[in-house]
Formats: sequence, structure tokens, C-alpha cells
Amino acid sequence: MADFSINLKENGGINIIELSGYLDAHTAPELENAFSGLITDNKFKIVVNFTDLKYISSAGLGVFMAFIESVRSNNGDIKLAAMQPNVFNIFDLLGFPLLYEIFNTEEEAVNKFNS
Amino acid sequence: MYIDLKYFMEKTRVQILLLAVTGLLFFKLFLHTHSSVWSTAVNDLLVILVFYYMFVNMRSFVTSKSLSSVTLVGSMLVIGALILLLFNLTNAFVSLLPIEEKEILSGNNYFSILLEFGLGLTLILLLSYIFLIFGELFFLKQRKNLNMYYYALIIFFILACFSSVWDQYESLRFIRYAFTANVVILIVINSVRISWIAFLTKKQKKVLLLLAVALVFLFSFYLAQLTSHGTDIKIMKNFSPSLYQFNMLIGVYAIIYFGFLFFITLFHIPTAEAFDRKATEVSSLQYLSKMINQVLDFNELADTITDLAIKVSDTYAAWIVMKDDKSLTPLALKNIGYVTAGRIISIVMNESSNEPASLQVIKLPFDTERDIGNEKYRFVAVSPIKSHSEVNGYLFIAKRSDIPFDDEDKNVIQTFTDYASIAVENSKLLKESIEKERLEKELDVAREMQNKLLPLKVPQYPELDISAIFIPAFEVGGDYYDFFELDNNKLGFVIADVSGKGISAAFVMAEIRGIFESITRLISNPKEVLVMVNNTLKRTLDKNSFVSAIFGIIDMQKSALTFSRAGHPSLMLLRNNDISELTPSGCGLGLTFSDVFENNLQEHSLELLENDILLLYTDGITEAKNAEMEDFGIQRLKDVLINNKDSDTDMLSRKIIKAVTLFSESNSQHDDITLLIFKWKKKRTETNNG
Repeated sequence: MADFSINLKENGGINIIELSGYLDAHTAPELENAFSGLITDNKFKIVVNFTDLKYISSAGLGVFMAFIESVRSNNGDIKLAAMQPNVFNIFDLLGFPLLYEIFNTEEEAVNKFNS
Repeated sequence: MYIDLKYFMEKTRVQILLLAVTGLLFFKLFLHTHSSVWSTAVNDLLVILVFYYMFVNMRSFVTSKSLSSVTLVGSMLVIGALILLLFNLTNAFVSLLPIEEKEILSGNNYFSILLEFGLGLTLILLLSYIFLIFGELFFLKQRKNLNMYYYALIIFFILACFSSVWDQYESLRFIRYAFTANVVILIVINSVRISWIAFLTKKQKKVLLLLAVALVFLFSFYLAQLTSHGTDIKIMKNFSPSLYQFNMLIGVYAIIYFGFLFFITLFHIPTAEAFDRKATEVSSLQYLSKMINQVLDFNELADTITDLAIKVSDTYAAWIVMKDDKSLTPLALKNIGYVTAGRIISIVMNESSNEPASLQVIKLPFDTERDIGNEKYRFVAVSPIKSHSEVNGYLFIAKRSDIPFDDEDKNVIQTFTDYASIAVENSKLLKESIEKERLEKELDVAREMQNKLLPLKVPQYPELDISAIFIPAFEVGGDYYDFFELDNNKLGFVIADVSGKGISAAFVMAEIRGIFESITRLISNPKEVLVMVNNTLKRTLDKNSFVSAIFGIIDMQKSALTFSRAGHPSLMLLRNNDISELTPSGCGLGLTFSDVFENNLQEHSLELLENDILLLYTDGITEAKNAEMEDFGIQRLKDVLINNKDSDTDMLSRKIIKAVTLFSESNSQHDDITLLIFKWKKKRTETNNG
């Protein structure tokens, strides 16, 4: 369960967080650190790529909630992209699509920022 | 009883001594005639008796003090000097008297007898002390049982002394000579067996050497005094010939003993330093291994380690550097400042391009001497403190002299590093176990809270068969369910899952329970209830926590179910042979406190038909995992439900739990499992039909 990794990259002023593995109570702090890092660097346009994420627990979901307010108040956003069906299902059940923009591909999310 | 006896013995010893002294005085005053050999023999027997009891009393006094060997030898010097002084004072005193020497020695008047008695008794007191110290020294650090030699010596001492009573008969003198020869042989034998010198420190040995020389000289003077035939000696001989003989023998004993002592000590001096060092090493390590099991604070131990390392390796400065991630923290610095230590650390870390993996001695470069001020360290030994082959830190030992560390030093440093490793390891384990204990306590509290918050039993309705199952995970998961028996034959129910685990989840759960409890008394519309709950949670819920929930109301009279879903897994409805997942829109509680929550929250209503089964669950069921990390999933849950649709709710929930348990057998349950099942048993009535 412990394998989880984060990859950060930048694409034309938009910061992309690539997640892979299992995001749960034990690995959530790593994602928190990634978000805090971006925010302290005043980077508020964030896309999270879920392509390789296999599982997310409630603690993992909480990370997005913790940062959305401060990102949006700085005219930024956290956009979610490329979720596998089981991961999307969890987001969907909880009603995340009502509050977050979720895209099929990373590209779509990035384009949304640029439009 | 034993104490009493001992006390009694001690008391009698003193009494016997006093009795013997009085007896001797009485004998001397009224009965003794110098001309009779037999009278002298009786006199000397009394003297020996007095001496013996003096010795016995003295022994119980001295042995209770347990003095060091050097102190004992030193006290001998004082007593010897006192005896010499006593002789000379007596001489001076007698020469000042207006009476003839003959008169004094005659023993005919009370004055001369008392003088003789006083001198004799004082001598007995001092000599018994000296004799006692010889005994003490003889038995000191003796490993073999040498009682025999000692008692033989005493016996021959007594015999040699007592036989001097008959000294006036030249033909009988050989007896005294024979005994005296035996005494001298025994003295030599006893003097060779000095084994306590090795245990002294170098300084003590030097003191001892001087004392031995002084004592040999002192007792040579002493013997000279005895053979000088001065008035003092004549008085003593008058008092008792045995005592004179004893004096002589003690003088011989002292010269032989201290002569040997001098040479033995002299031969021990060159190895004294090495012996000292080994002794400190052994005692330091003993102390350290005791400390390691008693002191749990690593910093305190680190201080002891550097302290002893300096002492044992005979170097100047020592400190420990603890390594975490990339930073190095010096601690327990001894005889060195942080700045200097920091400079040496950076020199060492640069010198050895990859950090030292084993003990290394590094010669500090010459030009750094200036950099580190007037503290000219020439060599530094660095030894890594490891646990499980992972380097946790380093022990640094710095030398000021130009002599590099030898193998002996390195061994010592290695040993201290090993101890430091154990100490680090211990303190780590301790911290871990404290943390674990704390977590377990916390979980116990959370579990207890959760248990108290859940309803004790399900409500009973003729129309409704209800089953509720809750299985807590080891780490409390924050599942919650409850029933509210409302007016007008309505039943409210809630199932919820608080995000996160442990005590924080349990607290949120407790709060939610309170909120539902009070709100359901005022409002009986599921959507409104959830909106109110969400608004109330705004004040207390953490930014990153949320709660998924379904709140519903079953109206027994109207056979109707109304519910709203706030981010919770769907409500399953089994009707006939079909399962539908009812998922009205609605996001989790705490996800947003804006209008979005209310605007998107739907309410779902349906009419209940006979044998309808409602199933609510938390994701502990669907996310239960097997060995291949597959989820139990919704389909398996549906299969169990449909296969057991004719069972009562208790049986059905047991079947589901069994299926989940079998599925996830090889994996521990990591989230709470909650299952609520309702079965509608009311037949359709006319009113419902119409």
C-alpha cells in the first residue's frame, strides 16, 4: 500500500501534479507538502493528473479540500484530470464534480486555464 | 538475639581487658619480685593477656573503619614515631628526676612501679596497633586462604617473647633463638606475599614508595634505640622481658616487610600507568553498561560517554555528532567549543570524501591551527555510531599532542562508540514504544467513544424488520449510524462515515450525533436536516475533513421512504429480483458551506412495497480487499443480497459480513464496516392501493 509518488512539472505557467499509486492517510502528507510548496511559491494554477493513481481514501480527498479555498482566493484553481473510473467514482459519490472541475485529460484541464 | 550476643561479647571484651590491666597492676604492686623467674613468668603471662585483649579490642575498632592500604602504612609511620618519642621522653623525664637510675629500676617503690606500668601499658597500646596493621596488610586483597601462616606467626611471636623470661640462664637461650628464627622465617614468607600493591594507582604507588623508605629508616632507629640499653629500655625490660622481645621482633618485622614493600612497589612503578589505564577502562565500561540500562535520556548518556572516553583514552577533547537527514548536530562536547568542534567536523567531512564508515584517524592539516585559535588539535579520531548498519552519528576524539592514536586508543574509542550505538538504539526503541503506547491509548479512547455513541439496540416496528451491524477497525474509522423514533409513527435513520481515523474522527462523530439528535426533534424533512447539519458543522469541521451521510425517514402509516444523500454510497433497494442503486445528487457534509450544498441536494421519495429490502453501507464493505488487493466491490454485495433476499435482515447481514470476511481473509480490516438493512413487511392495504 505504501507505494505512492508525486511528480511535479510545469506547462506554460500551469503546474501539474502527477500522482501514482495509493493515496491514503499515510501518503496524504506528501501531497499536502506538494501543495504547500506550490502555494508558498505563489503558484496557484494547478492541475492534478490522476492517470496512475490506483486508490484514494477519504484522507486523500481531504487534501484537495484543504487547499482549494486559498488557491481560489488567489485567482487560481485546482483542476482534476484523467481519473480512472474507480477513482472518479469516489469523487463523484462525494459530490466533488459540483465543486471541482474534472477533465478527461490533462490537456483539457490545461487548456481550460489558458482559455 | 545475635545483636544482643555481639553486644554482650564486645562488652565482655572490654571488661576482661580492664580486669587484666587491674590484675597486672595489683600483681606488680604487691606480689611481684624481680629476682624470681617464676614471678616474672606470671608477670609476663599477665602482660600477654593484657596485650591479647588490647589487640582484640583494637581490632574491632580498626576493622570497622576499612581504611585504604596507603592510609594503614601511613598510620604505621605515625605510631612508630610516637613510640620512638615515648622512649626519648621517658629518658628525658628520668634524667630530670632527682633520684638515681638504680632507685628507679629497683622496682621497690610505688613511683618506679607506676612509671614502669605507665610506659609498659602505653607501649602495649601502640604495639598492638602496629601488630594489627601488619595483620590487616597481610590479608589485604589476599585470594588464597593464608590464615595458617598468620596464626603460626602469632604463635611463634608469643613463644619467642615468652621464652625471653628465662634469658638469664644462658643454657636455655637456644629456645628463644629457635623461636625467633621461626618468627623471622615466617616474617620473610609473609612479606613476600604483598599482592595489594598492583591495585594502587600510580600516585598511590609513589606515596607508598616514600612511606616504605621512611618506615625502614624509622624502624632502624627504633632497633638502635632498643639495643642502646638506655634507662627507657631498662624500664621496659623491668616491666616485662617479653614486651622487650616483642619490640625487637616488631622492629625486625617492620624492616623486612617495608624493605620488601619498597622493592615490590619499585618494580610496579613502570607498569603502573598501563595498569591505571586498564583499571579505569574496566571500571568506566562497567559504569557505562550500568548507565545504559538505567538512563533513558540519550543526551545524558552522551555526556557520560564523552566524559569517560576522554578519561580512558587519555585525550583532550571529545564530542558526539548526531546525524539526521543532512544536518549534523554536535552534542555532549567536552573541553571544546561549538565553533572549534564545528570546524573540525567540516575538515573531517571534507577530508574523507565519502563519510567515514569505520574508525578513522585524521591528521588535522597544519594551516588550520590558526583557524582554530590557540587550541592546537593535531589528531582527531572519528568513529561512526551505527545501528543496523545505518550511521546515526559520530564519536569524535581530538588529541593535542603530536603522538598519534595507537591501537590501544583505537580499541578504547571503538568500544565507546559501540556503547554509544547501543544507547542511540535504546533511546530510539524507547521513543517508538512510547509513541506506540500513546497511539494505542488514543485508539482505546476513540473506540470506547464510538461504542458509546452507537445505539444499543434497533427499534422495533411491526411493519419493519431492522438489522444493524457495526464492526470497528483497529484504527477507529469514524463510522456512525443511529435511529430516531419520531412522532406520527415515523422512524428517522442516519448512516455516516467521518473522513480520517482515530480520535479526531471519533470527536467529529460525537458532534454529528449531537447535531442529528437535536435537529431531528425540530425538523422532519431529510433535505432540511442535512442542510442544517452542514451549516452547523461549518463552525467546527477541519478544512480537510468531511462526512458522508444518508438521512432518511420511513413513515409507517404511509409506507413511504424519503431520504437525502450527502456524498454517501448509494442506498440499495431490492424489489422483486431487482436491485436499484438510489443515488440522488448531494455532496458530502463539510465539502462546501456555500449554497452549492443546498442547491444540489436532492430528496428522494418512494413508496415501500412488501418484502422491499433497503440496504445502506459504508465503504468499509466495498473497499475490503483480498490478497490481490482487489476491492470487494458493489457487485459482490449485490450478489449476496439477491441470493439471500428471502432471509430475515439479521441473517442477511450475517451473510454479507461472512462474504466480506471470507473475501478479505488475508488482509486486515482497515476501515470500519457498518451495515443497515430494513425489510418492509407491511402488506399493501386498501388505502395504499387506492
